[in-house]
Amino acid sequence: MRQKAHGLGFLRDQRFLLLIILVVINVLFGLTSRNFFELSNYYNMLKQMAMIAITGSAATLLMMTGNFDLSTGSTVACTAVLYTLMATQGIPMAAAAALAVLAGVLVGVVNGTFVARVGIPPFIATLGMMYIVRGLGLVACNGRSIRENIPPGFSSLARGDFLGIPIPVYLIALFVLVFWLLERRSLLGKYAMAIGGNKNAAFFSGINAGAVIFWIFVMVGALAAFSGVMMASRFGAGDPRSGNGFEFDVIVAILLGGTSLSGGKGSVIGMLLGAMVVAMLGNGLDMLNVLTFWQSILKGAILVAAVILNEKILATARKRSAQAVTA
Amino acid sequence: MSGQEGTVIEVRGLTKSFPGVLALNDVSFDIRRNTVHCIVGENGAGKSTFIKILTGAFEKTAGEVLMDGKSFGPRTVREAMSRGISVLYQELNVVNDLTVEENLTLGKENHRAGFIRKSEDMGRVVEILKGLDASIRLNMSVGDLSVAQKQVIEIAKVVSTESPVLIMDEPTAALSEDEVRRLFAVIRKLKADGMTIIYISHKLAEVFEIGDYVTVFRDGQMVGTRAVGEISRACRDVPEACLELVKMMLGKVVVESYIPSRTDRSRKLLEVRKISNKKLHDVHFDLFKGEILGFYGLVGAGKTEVARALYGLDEYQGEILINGKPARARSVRGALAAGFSMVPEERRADGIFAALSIRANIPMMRMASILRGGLISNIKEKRLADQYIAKMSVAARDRDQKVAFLSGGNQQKVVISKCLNREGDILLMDEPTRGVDVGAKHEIHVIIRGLANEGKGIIVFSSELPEILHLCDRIVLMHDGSVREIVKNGEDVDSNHIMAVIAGGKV
Repeated sequence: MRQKAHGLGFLRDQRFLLLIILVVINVLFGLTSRNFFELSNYYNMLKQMAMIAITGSAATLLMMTGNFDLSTGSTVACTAVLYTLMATQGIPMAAAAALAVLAGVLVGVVNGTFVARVGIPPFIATLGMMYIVRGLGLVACNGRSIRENIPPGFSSLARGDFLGIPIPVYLIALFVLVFWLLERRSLLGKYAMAIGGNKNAAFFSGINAGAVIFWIFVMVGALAAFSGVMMASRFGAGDPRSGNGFEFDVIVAILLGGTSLSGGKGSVIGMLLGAMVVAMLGNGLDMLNVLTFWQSILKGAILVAAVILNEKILATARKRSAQAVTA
Repeated sequence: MSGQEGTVIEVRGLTKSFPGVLALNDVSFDIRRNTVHCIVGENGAGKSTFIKILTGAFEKTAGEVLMDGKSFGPRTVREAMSRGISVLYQELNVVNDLTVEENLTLGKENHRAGFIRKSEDMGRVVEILKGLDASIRLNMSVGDLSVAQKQVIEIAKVVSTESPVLIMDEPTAALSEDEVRRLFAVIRKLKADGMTIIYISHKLAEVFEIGDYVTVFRDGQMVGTRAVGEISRACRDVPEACLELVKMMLGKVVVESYIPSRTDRSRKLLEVRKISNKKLHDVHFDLFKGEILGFYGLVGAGKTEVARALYGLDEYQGEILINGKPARARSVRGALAAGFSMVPEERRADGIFAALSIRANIPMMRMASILRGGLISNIKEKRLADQYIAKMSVAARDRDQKVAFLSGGNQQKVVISKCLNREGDILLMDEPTRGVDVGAKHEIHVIIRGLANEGKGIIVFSSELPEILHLCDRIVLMHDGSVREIVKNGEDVDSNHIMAVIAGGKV
């Protein structure tokens, strides 16, 4: 009985469920749409979701602590503008990208300071930054997207290939791997889990929750900025209105992946699967010529359904394990 | 004690059981009309369970409660109120953002007077409020009032419902001495108006000041009911005042044989030099290597406050020396770095990471113990978990089991493991066996003694005298935030004397 419950534990894992959903989506779209199963289409989907998966890698750690960041979409837009501005002014692209990431770090520092040191709820602090940073992006380019004097090779980060595989695929793999390692094997990941799980016990154990949350905010800012650089490269322009709703796409991917909004548990791999589900749905529905309006409705429904399912699964799992102990 | 007309509440064989726990066991006593009837007992004695049955929050398992001779078994708080029992809860239920007037009328529709009679009621409430505390004006914002004044507003509200019985659940917990005196004046006024007051407390001094009768609860049982006047008369004749009541509260002290630890009296691990703060006055003591030092006193005497100060949770004046060197860092992280670790009183809230596995819990105080090359080593984490599971004999399915699903005793062993892995010199244990079954309690005692013999300095804060007498080499007796005496444990230790001291008697 106990052995059995243990062996089938993966059935109750949100990630396993997502995998099944992914397979089902693939089969359905593969049967109904002619071009879905092509390799180039998969590459295309991965390119679309790269920014979400990269920012989501760090944001998953953040949500494990019970915090979240609403300013990532604005950071993407602002840094896309800054990066393009610098690149068109003749600054080498690598240096421009580094400076743009630095700007994202600053956003993270502000968020982290307000949440972890001043003690403002993350909703308010990052909502404020969402507006401020969005505004800064608009100010920097006077509200007009930058499309002139784009240097050659500007698009290769988001659209280039290496050994026949798109560069964003390598980047997704790199960041997901690094943050998966951080989640599983680093002090930061353990402490994030501990803080989200029981803030008091973390405090009594001498864990410096403020510092942990602060540095994760900084990482999220940096990766959102890097996503902004990729966004500019993808569109070949610096658009201050890009990244609209990006922050919620990130949060949706994380929640789909089984990370709890209140913290204490989370999975970077789950986030990746969640982002893939969203990207594949969008892509497949596009191919079936379903209006984007319907896609939005579907996305919302899937999010709510997934979270309900997850909580239900958790509840029964708790009950079963509790019975196993008292039995 | 004049003007009594018999009994208002009769309790007959009242029993309440929860799965695995008998919270109230065959309790019978009477509450006489127009008296202040105190109910005292330590934590877990059954006071709250009793109140919750009276107010309809819990359903009784067996037995009977009669009110005015009629069977009384309310199913909701509202029903209890309509039958004439209202409660002043320990937590205040006023809305700070509203005015006094708005607070007084708030939720009135719940009362039997109903919505229509609101304006009439208002006049009565205001009158009652004036009678209790004339300094409170109706247009004041409640947020600006003191805790005591907020309490008066609640009392006025409760009194205006004209229920003949008022339950006060530890009303002085958050009050200053001056405010307590004013509250007592209010209580006397209510009694003069013919009310019956059931007064829950664990402070004996209050019982003597305000009570007519006192009923003592212990471990879910009613130990006895006495007229306060009789006890205080006896107290005057016997120098050790209150001793009988303390004994009733704490029970017969059955002490398992005490085995001294191998204390190294040549090495002082900890010297606490006259630390004081809001709750503590000049607390002064030493701890030797390999010693188990006990802190004992009634609830509110300051045991927990000493633990909190040592662990960097509360501020204090005074000095703490560790291994002869002053410990300056006054934060939890500082205390940990200085060599303290603490098993907190509230295990679920402050001790365990319930959603994490045993192996994830154990290294939390010193992650360095499972790092290899800057990363967490699964092998080391597993080895550490297995090592402590064996050492503490934690009963679990395996090291990957979530701590939430362990029994109380095994959860506590995980918390102790977490603290030991810190490898500090001094272990603070606040109520180390609270909520733990008898078998696990014994095991934890054996573990504590073993740790002392390994050379740790251990401070046990406990409200259970048998535990203290069984474990501790020396016992610090606390009363009212001060250290009254430090006694050496041994065959000749006098538990009567200890009880007299913690009750505030002469040393």
